[in-house]
Amino acid sequence: MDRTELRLPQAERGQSFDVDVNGEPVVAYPGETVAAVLLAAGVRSFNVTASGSPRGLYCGIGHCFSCLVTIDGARNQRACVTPAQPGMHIVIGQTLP
Amino acid sequence: MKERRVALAIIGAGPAGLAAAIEAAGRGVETVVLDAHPEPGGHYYSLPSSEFRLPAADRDTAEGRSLAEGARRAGAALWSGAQAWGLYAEKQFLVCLSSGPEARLRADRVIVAAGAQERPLHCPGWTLPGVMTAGAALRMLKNQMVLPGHRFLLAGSGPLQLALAAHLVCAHVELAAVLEARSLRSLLSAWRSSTALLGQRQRATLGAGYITDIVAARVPLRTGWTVARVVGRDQVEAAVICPVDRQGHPGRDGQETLPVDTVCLGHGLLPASHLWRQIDVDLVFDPVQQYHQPVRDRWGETSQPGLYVAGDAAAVCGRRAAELEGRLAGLAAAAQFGLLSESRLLEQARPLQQDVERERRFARLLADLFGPLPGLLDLATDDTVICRCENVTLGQVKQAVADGARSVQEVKHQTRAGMGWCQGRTCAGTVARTIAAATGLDLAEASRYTIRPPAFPVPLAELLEEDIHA
Repeated sequence: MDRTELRLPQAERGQSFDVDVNGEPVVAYPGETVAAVLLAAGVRSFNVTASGSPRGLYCGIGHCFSCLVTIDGARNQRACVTPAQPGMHIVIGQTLP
Repeated sequence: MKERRVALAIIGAGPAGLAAAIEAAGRGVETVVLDAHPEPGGHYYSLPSSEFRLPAADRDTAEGRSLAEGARRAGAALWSGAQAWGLYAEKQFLVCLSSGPEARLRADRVIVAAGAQERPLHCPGWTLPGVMTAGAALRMLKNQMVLPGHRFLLAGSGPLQLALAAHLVCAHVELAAVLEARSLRSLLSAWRSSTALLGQRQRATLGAGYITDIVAARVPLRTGWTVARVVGRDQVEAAVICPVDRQGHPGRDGQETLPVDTVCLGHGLLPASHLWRQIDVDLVFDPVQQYHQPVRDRWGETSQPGLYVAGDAAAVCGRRAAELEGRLAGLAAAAQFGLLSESRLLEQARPLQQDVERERRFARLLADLFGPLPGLLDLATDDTVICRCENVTLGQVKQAVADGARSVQEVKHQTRAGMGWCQGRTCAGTVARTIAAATGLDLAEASRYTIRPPAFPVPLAELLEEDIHA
């Protein structure tokens, strides 16, 4: 089965809000991490290494730093441990130092 | 710099940390539990976000929540979202934090209960977006209730990926296959000959339930197979799988290509040791699991007086052992603060110590069954990235060894492998095994490397605020 909705329906979520991802509004729910918001929107690639290879969520527990994104101007934030907030500005696809 | 004094600091709010807090705070020890994640519970429980409402909590979720509630009721302060990055042994212990209510904690005693991380598999393509650890996928499903992809391949060794497969089946996701690298014959022979299964009926039932779910959903469960490489341009587009021999060496024939967008790798767990290893405690190398453990007494206290390590952060034995070790450390800490008499301590500890021995026997069985397979190292080619932070390839690591590097530390100096964001968590084991395979050096010797603060990167602005003469 190819499902487009990646959020599991068993959870009753709160009032949805938007975050800004590279200038586009993306739906998020209270309690979601930035990584979950991106994955649920079908975004897999979060940043690019200096050698040009794309990277995304890998360890999911804050240990590997593969999921780094820019959040409200602060670079290199771990998407997997950062809760999404209404109006948050997220930049993905940047080249890591 | 904001600093707070506390009697007991517990690092990690998983089963070990919460159980330790229940015992210590419950007896009047002033206790702070800090944890990097928004929810307490740790990775085993991966409790659903408290913002979600669920019709009914399953048994694990109820158990995890009751541990967290128990720690709060006992009077422990739970600091969620506080990342510990430094641990120093001074007159007291100094714990350095990022993004917590205070930046520094001075504690008379510390229990490190930081849990585990996954042992990586370095196959070509493992850094592509869409390749993640089994634990990452489980956490996304259980804590965030989001599916991390559409079409999955699971490859690894051990029970974690069976749990993940059962969750995916339950969510009606397309699951192309579950690959167990161990052959069925080696699994059955070790399983049959073991007495460590005594008293583990509940676990056996759980495992059998997972397999039943997987088979009922007509998902192929293949033993003696692994993922040979992952293919894709910007993300996973397919996975090539291959049979392996009993040592894990990939076969040349019989490769198959599966069109998937997500590959979950689960090759067992490693202790999250980057905090306690900042202190120079006595170590012992476990040759089966291939990692260093702290030497501990029966309460979990290390050779540094007042520093305890409990649960998987010391040696991976699973959730139940972690909870028991946490209780023992919490009781011992309470006794050291004079809040529990020696005789009461021994009386309360006796049944816990028996249970923890049973759990350790079971963990040893799992280690024998699913410990790291040497042949899987052969999956990486010279241009496969080993250190994903600094983009160091296997070829560069081998060159450093050819140039004389004989430890993880020396390879790090020559290549920068292990010098990046994750501080070697993801590459050190494979670098050590590469050195040992190339030189015949003892793995314990090859695994040597120095771990220094910070365990996690700290913004310079935070450090600049620091008064170093405080």
